[in-house]
Amino acid sequence: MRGPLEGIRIIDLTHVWAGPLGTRILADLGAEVIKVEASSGRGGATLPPGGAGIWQGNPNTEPWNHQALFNKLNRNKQSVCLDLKSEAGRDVFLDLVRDADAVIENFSARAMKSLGLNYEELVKVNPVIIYVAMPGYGTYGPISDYVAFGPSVELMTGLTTLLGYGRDEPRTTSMALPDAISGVTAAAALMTALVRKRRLGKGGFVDLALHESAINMLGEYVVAHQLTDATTVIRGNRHQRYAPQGIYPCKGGTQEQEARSNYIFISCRDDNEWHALSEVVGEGWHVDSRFSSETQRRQHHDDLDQLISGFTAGFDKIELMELLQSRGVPAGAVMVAPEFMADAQVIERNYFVELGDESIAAIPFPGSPVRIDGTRHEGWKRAPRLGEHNEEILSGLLGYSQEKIKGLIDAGVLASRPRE
Amino acid sequence: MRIVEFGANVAAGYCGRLFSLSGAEVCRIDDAGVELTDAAARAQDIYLHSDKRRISLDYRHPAGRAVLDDLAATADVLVTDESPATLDALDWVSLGQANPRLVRVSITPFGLSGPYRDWSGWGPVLLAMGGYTELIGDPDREPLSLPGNFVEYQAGQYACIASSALLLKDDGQSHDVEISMLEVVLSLSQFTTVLWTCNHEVRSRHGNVWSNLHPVAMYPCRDGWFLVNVVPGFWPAFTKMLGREDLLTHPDFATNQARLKNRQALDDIIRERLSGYSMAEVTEMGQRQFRVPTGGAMSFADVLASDHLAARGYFRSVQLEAGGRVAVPGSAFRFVDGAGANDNPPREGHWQYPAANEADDARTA
Repeated sequence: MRGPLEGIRIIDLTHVWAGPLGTRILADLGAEVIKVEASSGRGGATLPPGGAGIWQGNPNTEPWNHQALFNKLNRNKQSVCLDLKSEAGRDVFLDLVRDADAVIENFSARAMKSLGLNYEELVKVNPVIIYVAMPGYGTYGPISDYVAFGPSVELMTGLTTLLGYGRDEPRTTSMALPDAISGVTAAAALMTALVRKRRLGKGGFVDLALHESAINMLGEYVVAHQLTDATTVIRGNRHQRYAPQGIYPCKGGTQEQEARSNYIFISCRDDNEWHALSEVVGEGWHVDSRFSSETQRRQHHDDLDQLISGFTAGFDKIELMELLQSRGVPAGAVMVAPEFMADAQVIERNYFVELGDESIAAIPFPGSPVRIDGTRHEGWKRAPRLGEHNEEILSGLLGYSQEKIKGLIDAGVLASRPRE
Repeated sequence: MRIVEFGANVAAGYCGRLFSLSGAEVCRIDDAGVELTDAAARAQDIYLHSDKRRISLDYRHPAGRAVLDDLAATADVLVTDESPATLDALDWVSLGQANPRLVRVSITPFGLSGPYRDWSGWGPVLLAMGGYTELIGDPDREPLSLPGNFVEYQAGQYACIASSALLLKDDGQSHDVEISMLEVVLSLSQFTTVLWTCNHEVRSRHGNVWSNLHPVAMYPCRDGWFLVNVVPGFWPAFTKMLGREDLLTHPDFATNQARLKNRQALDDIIRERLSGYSMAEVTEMGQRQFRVPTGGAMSFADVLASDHLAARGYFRSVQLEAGGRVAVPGSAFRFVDGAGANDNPPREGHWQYPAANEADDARTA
């Protein structure tokens, strides 16, 4: 058995990052996730000008199947490539929904209705279907029609009042953080709905907003604002209580990339950890009256940072992290991909999973952070090719005849490659 | 459904929060002797633990451990974010063993195995080691970690997902779920890993702009900051928003590559045309008039005052033990066709009563 969700069927219309991340989590736990994709969903039939992109293996013959980012997000899923704008495609989709447990999409608020495939239509063929919609600002409310991308949603959460180098130097994450948050939230929403359906026999329409998912990561600040008169402060890498805390430079090479990446995070949450750090350094910092208490250390944080930076600059970041951790000082080297992918911890735990086959060269992908009864990653499959399971699903699940399937292919309703 | 949570961190608490919002009975075991040290800690306590039953227990003491064991025996899910060393001392795998259907969930910084198993780790340590910190901040300065508890809360979500999956499976057996928070961070990489594996490029930070698209960037305005997310499809509309439709075909700006090459010149135009607006004005203009993804840097006061969030019933009103009420963010998802995840009236404090909800009705049916 591949996981506890074996036997659960989810029809997946999601795209980009958030939605596919959510359905990936459930596919990793054994759910049968059927991606319903448009033929243009993975780009064109030819390589983009200059061949720019991140390609898994050789993309020359079928670039749409070699996009590494897509493949990272869509392992363990099946693909049906369907023209939902055609009446025949719509009928196939409704047949898929008939025996499914859930449908999930992350289009703009009006998209599914314009296709005639909104919840009110789907519930006619499956009265207990779970339908999860995840537009940026929800399906109702004064700004539910706002165009949402992760970076612009991020500013609307309050995070920008916390993140940066100082009061006049706010920063964004520059990584569409709300997508990563709402993807996991989507998986939680689906699981909540599935459990509810099992207990009560009810499906339902689930509204999930990227905006609110991201605010939930900062909920205590919303509460704190009401409890105190203090306004939010951008502290850089400092903590409002722990001191010292910061990101400090380490010894590095002269290459630009190395210099940029040679840093270590260090924090002392109490006097014990502070004493431990001082002992490692061996300069008697803990008996310096400027640093005798947490309050004092906060007041003299600039002095501390200068001293610590002088110490850390003499060490390789990995060696220093290991030294400090061995002495009970919380520390984490700021790692880049070649470092954290080769790190002893992830290697020991077999965290990264190689996925591919004879036609798409296998590469390591991030695995699941969840182990159940000591196992994970069993029976994992690479991401599907576009439309790879058209015939298997239409014949095996829906009982379509070969003649009917051929008719759909000839009519362009089913496809396995982008249109030229 | 009954959830029992314990530990010193916040990950298990967030998992319990999600179950509580969906109507489950959540019993929180506070570590005896641990106090809320300041207003920030109290705020987090209200946010995570409103509407839970709570007891204080020294579960490291044999008598306390026996109480924990008894509680676990009555639960559907036992979730913890205690350290591996403490779990060893508690004989974690035997807790609640009288319950043949118990799902035990551990959330630890590095997992229960491996050379870092007993290392100290929480959000900023794990963000650094997991590749996130490298991506945030300016290229010529130290990187920035994320404030708050992104790692812990995401791990809590994974815990809720995995334990719910096992509850759904309902095979009559006990199960153990192990979650590594470092691996949570790694699982949420955007394209950092594949960029290295496939292109041998190291993804790093680039301030408030994106490395391969422009303008996707934050700019100052009259009362704060705003961000426009102009992927190529929005460029025509954005030129109208700027009042500079001539830029649509200007050789310095007509394509994304050209805009990247002439980033500074374009930013000067954007600042000149839009910096005089307020955040609310530029956001409304961008979104409503021109359909360009735009967002203003809201404060938490703005979030609380949002008409949109109020209309969506996002906040729950929590009564405080000391008197007064606070608005607490509710669930990010809700059933729109009937009972919502935000229907429960929560209260702060020990020995709270569970709110009436569908789950109760199902248990008593």
